[in-house]
Order: sequence, then structure tokens, then C-alpha cells
Amino acid sequence: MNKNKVLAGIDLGSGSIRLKIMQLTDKGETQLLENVTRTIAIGKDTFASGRISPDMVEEVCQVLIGFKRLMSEYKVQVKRVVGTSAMREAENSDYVLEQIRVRTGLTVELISEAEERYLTRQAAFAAVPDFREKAAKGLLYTRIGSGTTQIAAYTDKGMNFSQTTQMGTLRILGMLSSIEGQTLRYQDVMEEFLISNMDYILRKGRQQSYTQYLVSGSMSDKIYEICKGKAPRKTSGKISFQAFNKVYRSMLSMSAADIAEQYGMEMERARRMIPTMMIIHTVSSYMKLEEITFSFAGLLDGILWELAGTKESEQQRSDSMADILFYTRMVADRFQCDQAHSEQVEKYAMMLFDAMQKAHGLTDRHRLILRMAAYLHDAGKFMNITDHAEHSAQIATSLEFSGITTEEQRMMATVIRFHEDVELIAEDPEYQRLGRKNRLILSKLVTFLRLANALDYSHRQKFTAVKVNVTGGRLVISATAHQNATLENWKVMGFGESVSDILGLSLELHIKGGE
Amino acid sequence: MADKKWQDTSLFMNREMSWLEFNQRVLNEARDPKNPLLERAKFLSITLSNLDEFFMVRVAGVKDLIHEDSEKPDPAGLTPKEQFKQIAARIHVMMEDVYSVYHRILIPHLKREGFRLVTEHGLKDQDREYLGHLFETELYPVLTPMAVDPSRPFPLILNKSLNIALFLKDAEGERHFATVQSPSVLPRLVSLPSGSYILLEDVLTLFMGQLFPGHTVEKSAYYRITRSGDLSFQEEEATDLLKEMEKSLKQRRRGDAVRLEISRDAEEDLVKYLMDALELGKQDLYLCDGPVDLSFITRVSKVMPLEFLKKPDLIPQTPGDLLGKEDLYAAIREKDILLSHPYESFQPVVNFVEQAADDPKVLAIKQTLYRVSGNSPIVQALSRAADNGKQVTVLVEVKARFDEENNIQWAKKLEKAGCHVIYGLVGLKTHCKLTIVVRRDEDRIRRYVHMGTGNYNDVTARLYTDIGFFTCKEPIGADASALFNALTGYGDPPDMRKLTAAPLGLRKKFLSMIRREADHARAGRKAHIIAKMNSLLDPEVIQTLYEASGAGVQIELIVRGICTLRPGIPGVSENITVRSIVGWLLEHSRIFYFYNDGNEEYYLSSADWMTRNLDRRVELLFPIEDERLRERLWDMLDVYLSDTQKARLMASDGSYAKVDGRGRPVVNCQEYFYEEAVERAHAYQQENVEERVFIPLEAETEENEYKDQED
Repeated sequence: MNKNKVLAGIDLGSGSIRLKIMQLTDKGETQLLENVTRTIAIGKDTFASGRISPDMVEEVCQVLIGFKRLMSEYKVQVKRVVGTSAMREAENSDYVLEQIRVRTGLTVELISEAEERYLTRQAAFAAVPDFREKAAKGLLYTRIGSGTTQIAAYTDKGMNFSQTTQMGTLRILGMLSSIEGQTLRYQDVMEEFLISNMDYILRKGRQQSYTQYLVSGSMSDKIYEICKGKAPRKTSGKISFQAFNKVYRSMLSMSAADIAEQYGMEMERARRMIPTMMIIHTVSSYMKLEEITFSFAGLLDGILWELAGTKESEQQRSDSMADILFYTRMVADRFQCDQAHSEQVEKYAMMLFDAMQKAHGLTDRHRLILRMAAYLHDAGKFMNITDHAEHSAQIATSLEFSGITTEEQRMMATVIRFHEDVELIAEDPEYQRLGRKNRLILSKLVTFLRLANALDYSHRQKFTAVKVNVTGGRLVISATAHQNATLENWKVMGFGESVSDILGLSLELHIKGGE
Repeated sequence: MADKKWQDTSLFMNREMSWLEFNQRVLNEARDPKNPLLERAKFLSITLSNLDEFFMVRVAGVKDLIHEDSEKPDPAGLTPKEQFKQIAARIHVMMEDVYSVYHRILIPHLKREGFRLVTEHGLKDQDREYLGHLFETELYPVLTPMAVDPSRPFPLILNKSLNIALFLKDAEGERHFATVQSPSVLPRLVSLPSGSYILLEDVLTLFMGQLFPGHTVEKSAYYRITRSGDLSFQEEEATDLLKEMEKSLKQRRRGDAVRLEISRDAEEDLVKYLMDALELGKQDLYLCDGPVDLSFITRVSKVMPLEFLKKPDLIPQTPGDLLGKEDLYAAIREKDILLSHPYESFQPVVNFVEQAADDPKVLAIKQTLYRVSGNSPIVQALSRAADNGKQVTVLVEVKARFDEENNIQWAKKLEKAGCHVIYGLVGLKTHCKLTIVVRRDEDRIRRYVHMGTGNYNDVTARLYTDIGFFTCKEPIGADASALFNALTGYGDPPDMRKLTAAPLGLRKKFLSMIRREADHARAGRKAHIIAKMNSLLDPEVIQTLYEASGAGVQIELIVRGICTLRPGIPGVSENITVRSIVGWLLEHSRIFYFYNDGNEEYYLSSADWMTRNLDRRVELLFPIEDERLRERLWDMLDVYLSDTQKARLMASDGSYAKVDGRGRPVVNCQEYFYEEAVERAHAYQQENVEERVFIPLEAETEENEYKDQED
């Protein structure tokens, strides 16, 4: 844990650059020292021309130099600087990052949308003290942004689903302006539109019972302040749906300028008020939720949370891995995978992975990916049995996982894609493109999955008391069969050559019993 | 908000007239026999220098409006022409009063103490001889007589200088005008061998003939010109004046004469000549019933040993909250600290920065500096801090009115030492007084904050009353940091919880607090506002106060200077009282109290209720939440409201009168506060000082050694 340290995080977003400096006291408490936002529309450049202009780079550097000075005032020891969509999507992002590095000395990390989602969500949950209890009662989570809105659902078992819809406030604003002119009851029309876009999720949601609603996003603190009448003091706060509804109704008849004037905020924020409230209202009323919890934590908080490395954040990290796995199992369920087979494959894959830990040197992230691959490898059979591995890989690619990076997701999908075939691996163009380090990782993971899958090829769970041993250059798998296991034997030994190539071990399978 | 009712011009005083009444109160101190003689002389001098500035800025501004043919009335309904007429009439009366004080009070009293001021007639022979010698050796070399004729234009007479105007006759009998400045490099009061004194200009007159060979001096008179000064007026009246300017497309005429002071016995044609040359009218002319420019009167104390006629200097005491505390920072951690200057010493504020400069635990120092001199100990401490590796950020206000010494020089020095210096903000004067010290204490990083109602100037801290506040409470530290970040350009204006800043929301805050009090009153609850400030001018605030009074809020205002609100108007302001306190020290602190139905709120601020403070300056309003300190502020306000000596109550017609002290204890608030501070320090001394005379120093015993051996 970074005890007694001063941490800092900087987020270069589309509309602003933010700095937070946090102190960890020796008692383990966190204290926010500085919270600075500098409005600067980096996104305007990127979204308009696809590039970040030199003037903008100059301005960004100026702001960062100021932030650097602030950080040196507190003698910040640990820091992380990240850039999100506006920087990521700019054509010249490489050059811009280099410029920033040269002129300010700060190295900006571009994080993927997935990681952004993950960190934001971590922060949102960390900010709610009784999050796990709430999840146990069935919790819906929405994060409302200007580009997208994420919806996720949690039960006590973990995350049920998670989707990013394109229903961000900017998009809604665009629609509002065209509908407003046509009807007085535009809010009803908008809500219908929102529901149709989130239909699947919300319908599914209604089948479980969700009693808790958690909202996060940059407008949260202002909405809370308006509904409650005073600024938030803690990291999260509750509002009754009644109180929220009252404010929502009165706001519908106000213009953005009125809102800015009456509630004291800039026009930019005032414009996003109604669309944000609309989304919250749609979800709350459709799901008949009585209370809304607002979390005021955002990406930066997530970054600092991780940097702090407290016990809580470690716990949360392992919780989120559990969430990912739970979700993966749910997805597999949806595609009607053979659960018993998947569990077996997972078990065998883990045994193989753990037995050869020293030899392969892979990380617990790879272990996670292998587990996920084990669950999803047959999902494609739902589409078509022929080339099901290909279909499974596509499913794995198009799903939304928060908590693994894009690369990790790609790796998992590729592992799935190769779990059947023996020969094609070396010639495959995508395999070539991976680069040496990743090719090695991929090969090892594929081998484990292939072997594990082969051990239950018949889907009949023929083996008990399976043991994996690595001794004297040999990979020895021993098992007790209670049925004829010729098929499994043939399939497993068929991978003998690749095991020898990739793992440098000779494969041996000893089966006791059976016929 | 444009309620027609409040457009009624009878509800507002004219600003300039209100200021003139303030200046009258200063002059009245010269009349007060309770003040020591030399203090009374000082008040006379202050009255005159105040008038100088008034002419240079305010009168010049009004004359400009007239020149631009502006007919726009002020909130009190007066057009510039009407204002000027009233101002001129009032000042003429005031000057009569000034000379009355001089002749009837100061001179007789000084005479009694042995000070004799003579003119030519009172000179002894030895004096004449001495003066002749003085003229030749010291005066003559520095004189620059200037003649005027068709080929030479009227010379540029220096603003506020004392001059002699002459009509000369040459050999042909032609008349010429000439002028000589009485040199300001030489002392005005000339000490004579006979023990008397004579004014320098009278010496000049004696030997005038020598200055103009070939001419005879026909007529002469002493005179003084006041010229228009800087642009502050323009800024004060903001958009109105600017619009007028733009319309007429004329350049503002800077540097024009706005007043001519001349001896009453000056010949009419000499006066006329000057007035024509300076383009002045009858209302600009002030005939002096005595020496022109009486400011020399304060110099008397320098030339004669008259200490006993002065008020003894105030000795700033150790602040009550800091008695017995060695470590300032530890004391602040223990509890919030309030300092009442100058009764309580300003030194802790200087120490705050000086200690920080050398403390290895301090990470950073941030401060706003307004009207600070370059050799101030604070500036030096900041420089040292930067040398010692601290991160120092300073927000300097370089454009402070007339005392425009080169602030830029020392600011650049700070920069060279490694400080991050910001030379003011575009369009805003930084008027708030704020210091933040970031320190890594044993357990965590803390922000120690100082805020005050007065400037970080150890010199003025002895002449003005102000209140300062130290705290290290986190919410205030966070707000102060966030505000500083916005001022230094790092981030957007912050949402603050405890502090309120102008121009970010201070106006709104003040208005909402007054309106909240009005709501309480309307609901039948007790409602009370006490506010102390230097000037009350803002029309919107005044309107809101009128409304609150109408709702039943009891409003007690302590306004030192200008007040354009009219108290005691039936149906409008019957619940409002206004008093002004002008005394030995210049009242400068700003305190705001709201009863708020029992949830009392106390605030201190750097801002007055003036438009410029609320809209065009960076100002700070901060709450005092410590119960102990709130009680202290309540007591202070109580003392101010109980003053029977120096307080003057304002009537609805704008006149001020003494407080009726019958049946009430005699209270002079400034003396009370001083005595209180002295008492507190004294009491502490009594209780805590060692009585022993002989305190032996012994070597440490070596008991432990034996103990160890036993084991």
C-alpha cells in the first residue's frame, strides 16, 4: 500500500483536463488535497477535423505545466496521466503525446474505452459504502456520458450484463432539438425512444427484480445538489424518486439558459441537464425504482483508487475478476453451452496452467483469459456447429467486458478460435501479426485449452481423479476413467507434437480403468 | 429586479456629498478638545490631503462629465452640473471651517506652547540678516522664476506645488506676469535665530526684487493648483461613463487644473489672470484666509520638542490567542486564531511567512500581495523561502492608485529568486488578502491559511484597524487552494463550500443573506443584521436593505466613509441605523452578522458593499465558525454600537450628529479595544511569569549509570 504517500492523477478528457492530488495518511485514510478542472475542448478538434491542432497542443501543455507545478508543491510521489477518447481517436495522437512528453516531461497513457469503463465503474462502486449489500438486492447501474451510456446489472452473484449504448447526452440533445418542434409532449416521445434503444436490457431487467439504482457521470453532483438543496458532502448520496421527479418535471419547461441561471452552472453543463435527467427518469420509472443513489466518483477517482493500492482496492480488484467470470458464465449460458463440459474444461485448463506455472511464466491475467476462453469456446455452436470455433471467437470479440483490456479480449478470442485445429496456427495471418511475445503467450494458452477440451471431448466427463505432473521433461496427465476413453486418448495425444514444440515437454497420458 | 419604487431618487444620497461629510468628520476631530494638540493638527492635515485626492479624482471626474455634456443623473437624481454646484458650495464652507480651526484653535494653542509663526512684520534684525544669507546660499540657486509673454506660453505649474504669482512692471512700464515655485526641496518651516518661525514663501517674498532685475514687483500672491489625476474615476462609474465617452468621441483631458487656491488678499486682476490662464471658473476658486496649503502644521512637531502634545504611540500587544504559545503553527492546529489589529500585533502574520520560509516541513507558500512595499519583511521572507526550495506563488497587484512606487521591481526580484509571480489579473484588481502555507506535518499534509480584512503591509497595519484570521481546518484549506488555483490560471473557478469570492458569487451571496433575513422577518421571526464596512454605495444592495427594513429586519450599519443609503425614512428605512466611527485610527475592518433565526452567521471580508468590490475586484468572504471567536466578534460589534465618543449617527438627510450619551457609559471603541488588548497581555504576564530571582543551573546527575551497573 502506498502509505503516507501523495498520489496524483491527471485525466485528459474531451472537454477538460482534470487533476486530483490525494494524500494517504499513515492511518490509511485518504484525503483529497487538490481537485482542479480546466475546461479545454480537446474533443472539438478531434471530432471536427480528426486531428489535434498545434494551438490546442500548446494550450494543453500550458495547463499541464501548471498542473506539474501544483504537483511539485505537494511533492507528489506517485502519479498517472491518462488520455481518453479525444486523444485516442486523433490521427496525430502519437505526435501529440510525444510533444507533451518533450515539453512537459509528462508521459500520457492512452487508455482504452474498456479500461476507462472499468476504472470508472470501480470508482463508482468504491464511492458507495454499502455497494455489495445493494448488489445483493439487485442493482442497476448507469453511467451517463456525453457520447455513450453504460448500463450494467449486478446481483449478489456478480455482474449479470453490461452494455454500452450510444445513448449519450449529446446524441439525445440532437434528437431533442428535432423532436421538440413537433410535439409538446416531447419528453414522452424521447422516453419511448430511449426505452426502445435500451429495450433488451430493460426488459431483461424486469425479469429479475432490481430494487437498487446507481447513477454515475459528470452531472451527478449537480443533479444531487439541485434535488437535495445542498452540495454533496460525501462520495455518494441518495435521492428519492419523488424528489427527483419533481425537479425533472419543472426542468422540462426550462431552457438551458434558464437552467444555467437558476442553478448556477455553465451553459455547457446546463445543456446536458435535461438529457441526463431524462435517462435517469426513463430507467427509474420503467423499472419502478423508488430511490436513486448517485455516485460522485469518476475516472480520476478510479485511477487514484488503484494507485492507492489499499486493501479495499485490492479486494475490489479481485471482486471485479469474479464479476467478469460470473458474467462470462452467464453469457455461455445464454448461448446454451454445455455447462458440465465447460466446467470440466475450465478445471483441466487450470490444472495444466498451474502445474506449469514456473515453466511458462504467464500472469494471473492470462489465467483469467484462459478461464474465460474455457467457458466460451463452444458458444459458437449455438450459431452453427461447422466452424464453431470461428463463431465462438466472434461472439467473444463482440461482447462487452469491463475489466479486461482490448488486447486481452482479442487474445481470448484468438485462443478460442484456435482451440480445435492443429495445423493452421503458424500460417494464420492474424497469428503472424501478433508479434513474438504475444505469439508465444497465445500458443501456450491455446495448448492448454486444446488439451483441456480434448480431455472431455465426448462431453461425458469420463475422467475422475485427474492429476497433472511435470517431471523430467515430461508432461504427465493421469486419470481414472469409468468408461471407454479411446476418443479422449486419441484427441489428447494428437496434440503431442505441439506440446513438444511449444512447451518443450513430451506428452504422456496414463488412463486407469475404463475399458 | 427593476422595481419602479426604488427608482425614487430621494432614497439615495449623492456619493460625493456623502464623502464630503466623511471628510467633515475627520475635520471635526481637529475640533475635539479631547484629542491632543498635535493629533488635532494631524487631522487638519489629513482633511486637506483627502481633499487634494478628492479634487484630483472625483471632482475631475465630475468636471469631465460636464465637459462631455452629460446630463445623466446619479442615483440621487443630480446631473453632473448640479453635483458640481453642490460639491463646490460644500467645500467652500469646509475650507472656511479649516481656516477657522487653524486660526482659532491650532495657532493659539501652539503659541501657548512656544511656537510663533511670523511674517515680515515680526522679524528681528538678526532674523533678517540670517534670512538674507539663507536666500543667497540656499534659496536663490534652486529658484526658477518663469515669465510669461506672448512668445512664452503659460508655464506648466506642478500639481499641488506652492507658487507665487506676480505682476511685474518693466522699464517701459509694460506689465508682465511671472511665477515662481516655492522650492519643495527645502523645508517649509524656516527656523529663525530669534526663536520664531517663518514660512518659506514669506522669505521668498522678502527678496522677490532680486529675482527680476530690471523689473519692479507690482503685485504678488501665493497660489496652488490641483490637477486631475488618474483614471480611477472612469473605472468607478464603469459603463455609464464609458458609453458617454464613446458617444462624444472626445479624448479625456487629463492633467487639467481643477482647483485654484490663492490668498484672499490677492489682487483681483491677478486672480483673474490665473483663472483665465488655467481655464477655471468661479466655483473652482478658493480664497485662503491664511497661508495657502496648511499641511505644514504637522511639521511643527518635528521642529519643536512637543512630545507631550502627541498621543502616545500605540504599542501593539501580543494577541490574546497567542499568549504563551511558542509555536505559531502548533497554536493554529490547536484552534482557530483571530487577530484584531493594530491593538494586537501584526507580527504573527509576518512570522507566519518568515517561519514558513525556514521550516523544512513546509512545501509551498502562496500569497496575494496588494500595496506592499519592496523592503517589507514578508517580501524578503518569500524570497528566502524560494531560495530554500519551497514552491512560492505570489499574486501581485502592481497597479495600486497613487502610491505607484515601482512594485514591479521587487516583484521581479522575487521571480529571480525562484518564485512564481503573477502580475495581476486582466480586468480585475486582486483585493483579497489570502496566504496559504502547505506543510507536511507528522501525520498528514495540512494547509494553514491566513485571511484578513486588511493588506499585508506592516506599516499600515499600525494605522488601520483590521481583523486577521488563522486556521488549518480542511474545508477552508481546500476552498482557499481551489480559489488560488483559479487565480493562478491552473483551473476553472471552483465551487467553494465555505468561502465566497467576488466576482464569482459574492454579490449573490450577500443579497441572498439579506433577503433570507427579510423572509424570517416576514414570517414573524426575529431578524437582525449588523454590518461594518468602509463604504456603502451599491444600489442593488441598498435596495435590498430597504426591502429588508420594510419587512421588519433590524439593520445596524457601521459605515466609516461614504454611505448613499438614507436611514430612518418612514416606510422605507425606519429599521436601519447608520453610524460612522472616525477616531485616532482609521477603521478598516469589515464584519457581517446575520441572526438567521438563531443560526447566527458571522463573516469577515476584504470587500465593502460597493459595486467595484462586488463586480470588478477579486474579494473574499469567509465565515467564522469557532464559537469562541464568534463571541468575540459579537462583543466587538457591541462595543462599536455602544460607542458614545467617536461614533456619529447619520440622519436621513445625510447629516451626522454625536450620539446622545446621557445615561450611558462613556465608550470610545478604539481606546476600549486597546485597553482590552493591553489588559489581556498584562493579566497573562501576571499569572505566568516566574517570580523567582535566582534560578540555579546544575549539571545532570549520573544516577542512571549506577542503575545500569546494578543490573
